[in-house]
Amino acid sequence: MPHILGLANLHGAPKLGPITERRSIASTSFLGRYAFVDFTLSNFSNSGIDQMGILVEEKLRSLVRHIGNGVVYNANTKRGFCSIMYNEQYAPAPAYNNDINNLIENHWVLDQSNADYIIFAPCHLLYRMDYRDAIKYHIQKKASVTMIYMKCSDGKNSFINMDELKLDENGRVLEIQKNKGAKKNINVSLETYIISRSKLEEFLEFAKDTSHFFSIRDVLSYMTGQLFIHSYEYQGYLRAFTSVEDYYDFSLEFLNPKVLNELFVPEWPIYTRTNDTPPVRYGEEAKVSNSFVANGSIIEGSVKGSIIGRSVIIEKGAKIENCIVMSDAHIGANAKLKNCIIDRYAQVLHCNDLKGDPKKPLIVRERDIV
Amino acid sequence: MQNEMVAMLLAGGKGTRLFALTKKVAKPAVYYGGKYRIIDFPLSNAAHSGITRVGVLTQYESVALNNYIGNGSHWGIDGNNSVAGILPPRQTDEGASWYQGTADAIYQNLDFLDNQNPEYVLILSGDHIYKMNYAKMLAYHKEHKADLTVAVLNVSLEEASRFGIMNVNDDYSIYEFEEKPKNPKSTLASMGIYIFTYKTLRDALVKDAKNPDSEHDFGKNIIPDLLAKKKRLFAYTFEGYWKDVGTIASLWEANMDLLDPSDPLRLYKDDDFRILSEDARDLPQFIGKNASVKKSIVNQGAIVLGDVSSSVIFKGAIIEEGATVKDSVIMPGAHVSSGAYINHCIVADNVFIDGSRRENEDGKEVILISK
Repeated sequence: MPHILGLANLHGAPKLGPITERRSIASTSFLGRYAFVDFTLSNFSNSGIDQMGILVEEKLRSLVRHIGNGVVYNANTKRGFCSIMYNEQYAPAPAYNNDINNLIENHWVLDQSNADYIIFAPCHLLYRMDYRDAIKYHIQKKASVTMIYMKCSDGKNSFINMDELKLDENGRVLEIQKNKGAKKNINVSLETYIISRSKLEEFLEFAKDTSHFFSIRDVLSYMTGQLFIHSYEYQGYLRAFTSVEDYYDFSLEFLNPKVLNELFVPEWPIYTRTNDTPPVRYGEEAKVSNSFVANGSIIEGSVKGSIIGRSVIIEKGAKIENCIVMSDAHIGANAKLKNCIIDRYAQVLHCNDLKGDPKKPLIVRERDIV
Repeated sequence: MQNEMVAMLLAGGKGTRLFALTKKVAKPAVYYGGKYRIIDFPLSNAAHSGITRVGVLTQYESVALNNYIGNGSHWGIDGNNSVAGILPPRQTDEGASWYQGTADAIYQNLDFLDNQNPEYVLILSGDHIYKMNYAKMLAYHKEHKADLTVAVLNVSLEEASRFGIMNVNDDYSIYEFEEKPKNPKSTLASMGIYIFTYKTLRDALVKDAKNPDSEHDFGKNIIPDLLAKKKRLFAYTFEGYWKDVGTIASLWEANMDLLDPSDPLRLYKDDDFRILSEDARDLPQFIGKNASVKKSIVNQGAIVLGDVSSSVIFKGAIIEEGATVKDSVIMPGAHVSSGAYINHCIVADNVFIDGSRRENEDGKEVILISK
């Protein structure tokens, strides 16, 4: 296999309302013990890619805390690396703060890497993919760029406003459009691109000469006519997290074992930071059903259809239903919560009745005490 | 400060009274408390006590244990000044021999200790569940200018005849050691945790090795010998939860102790003194629609669809809908099928229990279910 550099690309990632106010989606908690970036980096790692970078747009703090030195994602802790790439220069200038300028600023990552090919993958799209076949295909087709896509037969209702690929009969990408929900059958882009190092360097030059506002996606879109951009079909679990409602719906969807087993399989471990928290302790009056509970939590109350993060305390008489409770939150005695997202370190001590709409969950922000 | 004391952990024991649980692994590698192995306790204690150099002496079924210890990274003992040395018996210029006793095991690794050149050596065993800050014990050792400090637990007079008992003067200096005395004079039981001034230890071990009549045991030979030589031996009283898990019944009890809401082991307290362990790559635990989990401890990666009460459930264990698990310990990967009834049992790892089994319905004694 050729040498590959995998880059998790956070530029242009959607915001998930209040829960991404102080963090990017990459380090947002998922299923109680993961962060979204774990899935992107585990896809790299499990595909035999040991050189990684994370192109950060903003909100570095929480990500740095989660990634640490990054070795949990590396097969070999000396040969592999996981570099955080942050564009110091353009961080205060959103118009210029794009992936291409980031790559120019952090060119040292490319310099230190022996990679022949680079894969860009986002964090807000959740999927499980072994990239090895796609890379082989990319090389075999002698493509300039290979874009990964999935066929979707529900384009009118799903993946709205996401990139959609117009392909010719041989799979060449003719045009990149936005899915406006007009068509039933669409080829939704996974915003995952394979590109050779030399072609990427050309892109950087092209963008420098053309416009400092250009992102990789803009370059691709602009150059579909001139470049040989090929496509590679992905089949399997795919969800796009573009809003806090998506986050709520698609998280709780995992309580359905069918969905769970699509993303999680034994041969595809998801690496994440370890916390050494003890197992969950359930009290005498605990009543728990249809829920995920992460380690370190102490559950004395009742929990139904919910996802409970690490080291959460749920006191006696509390009733939690259809909620996502993030790590280190505290739910006081007799509090009743339905359709809520409780962010990290938040405490529900005084309000005894919090109720959101299943379509619009109520959110208690990080560290708030209500 | 950091390297003045090296820890030597005796982890070679078979643990015969744990039967099938130690058929393929040494006792220190036995599972405990939903996510741990026994050895996590002394090694986490060492890590939190600022000890960065540890030798682990293995002998019986050492492969699984050696793999588990690895480079010590589970406990952070892989820092820039760390040594996690795995020390099984080896062939040398003089020949090869198994470790003949606790003292002989350390004697055969004097070269390892000489290389570390410590001022003090902490001897630990891999058989006990407890949280202890050894730095405090070292301070006590230094304060008393001791040659040997023995950690002791104040037990009841009835229990005292089951332990090695330290008879002490008013200042806690030890004047006599009695192994399992019929009529105990004191209730200070040795916990098998020793801090030696290295020079004293080295001299004593070299002398003991030359004695053909010695059993090469710390309790039986080294301590009496040091007492005879009028060395300064002190007892250091430990207060807190401590449990020897040498039998199926005591292993079960130690697990059940975790269900006590007062948390005697302080597993959910002392956040800066967490018990460190292997990083399991499992999903969070899933509790099913019709499940019931009460007064229990459940680790990540477990799937509970049935009825669980007063039990400890490890990662990868599956309790099917319609199965009942009561007052039991279900080890990693064990599967309890729908219809099965498990009471007062330890179910060993990866055991499959089919739905027709009703185990230990009267629950008078704890039983072990293994392959």
